[in-house]
Amino acid sequence: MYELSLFVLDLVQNSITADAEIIKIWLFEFESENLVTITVADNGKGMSKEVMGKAVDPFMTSKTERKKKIGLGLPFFKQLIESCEGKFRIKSKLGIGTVVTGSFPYSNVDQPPVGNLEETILSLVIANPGIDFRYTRRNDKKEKIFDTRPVRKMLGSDAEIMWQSSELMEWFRNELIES
Amino acid sequence: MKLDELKAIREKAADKIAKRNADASQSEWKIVVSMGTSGILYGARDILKKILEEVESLELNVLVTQSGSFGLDDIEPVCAIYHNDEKIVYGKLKPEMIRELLETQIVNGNILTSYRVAVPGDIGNKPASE
Ligand SMILES: Nc1ncnc2c1ncn2[C@@H]1O[C@H](COP(=O)(O)OP(=O)(O)O)[C@@H](O)[C@H]1O
Ligand SMILES: [Mg+2]
Repeated sequence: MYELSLFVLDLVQNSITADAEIIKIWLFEFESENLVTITVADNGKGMSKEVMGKAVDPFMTSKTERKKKIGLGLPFFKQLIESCEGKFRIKSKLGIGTVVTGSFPYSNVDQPPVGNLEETILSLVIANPGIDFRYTRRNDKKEKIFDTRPVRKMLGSDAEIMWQSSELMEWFRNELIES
Repeated sequence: MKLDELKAIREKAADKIAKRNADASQSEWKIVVSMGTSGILYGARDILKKILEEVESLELNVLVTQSGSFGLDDIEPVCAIYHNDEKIVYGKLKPEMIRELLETQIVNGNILTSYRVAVPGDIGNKPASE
């Protein structure tokens, strides 16, 4: 798994599992500031300090407790970011949501390729008709924003049932990839 | 975003959905792709993409969605196909087998036994075949 977009997919699945209603994804690639930042934020159920500690360092032990592994996604992402001289950050609040960010130098040699991020987001949008997504990709020259909320508003109560119609999928594809 | 195009799309799609709902032979199918970390490592993203493409090309009335890990790490990528109260799990999926899987299972209503995994909770209720 050496593509940023696969890590984004993994982080977004965490948000989906946490019952998020809206998931926001930002990718900033600023050559001028020598900085790449990827962020996934959700309004899901969040996690306690204790769960977060275990999630980030799954082999953390206390004297009374045996080693407990609760998942490898977050440690994996943290490791990737730190291996390219980057910074991993996570903030979470029970009942409010979670924000995960990785940032690393633009010109790092170990930097993973972004991969097919727009395709990945397209599948996420289509396969999750009940969840809203906002995706922002920005570099020194331009910015691209995709947001399902105005789409849902426009389609009204029929939004979910027509979400996977070929017409709407085609529109999503045009907005995310062809434009 | 070209939101003004959505009006026409809404009308077209609503038409199709109304027709489909009027056709009683079209029953409810759902496909869930396991998208935990290990699933992603073994290619679940491409499986989901392929399923979406083939469902569209075969014009099937199927909801395609994703979930966290099924806990079947040794046979990823995995998907579950739901039909009414039945659940059938398929593992070790490859994009090349998706069309055959959909044609056999959903178009023809037969279980594609060669890829099928019997897990607790699916209709076979046999122990995991690994
Ligand atoms: N966005 C999130 N919202 C709420 N809880 C989360 C989120 N991301 C991670 N967690 C918690 O951290 C745990 C570990 O996450 P992760 O390392 O991705 O492993 P896994 O997803 O396999 O459990 C999750 O099981 C969950 O309890
Ligand atoms: Mg995870």
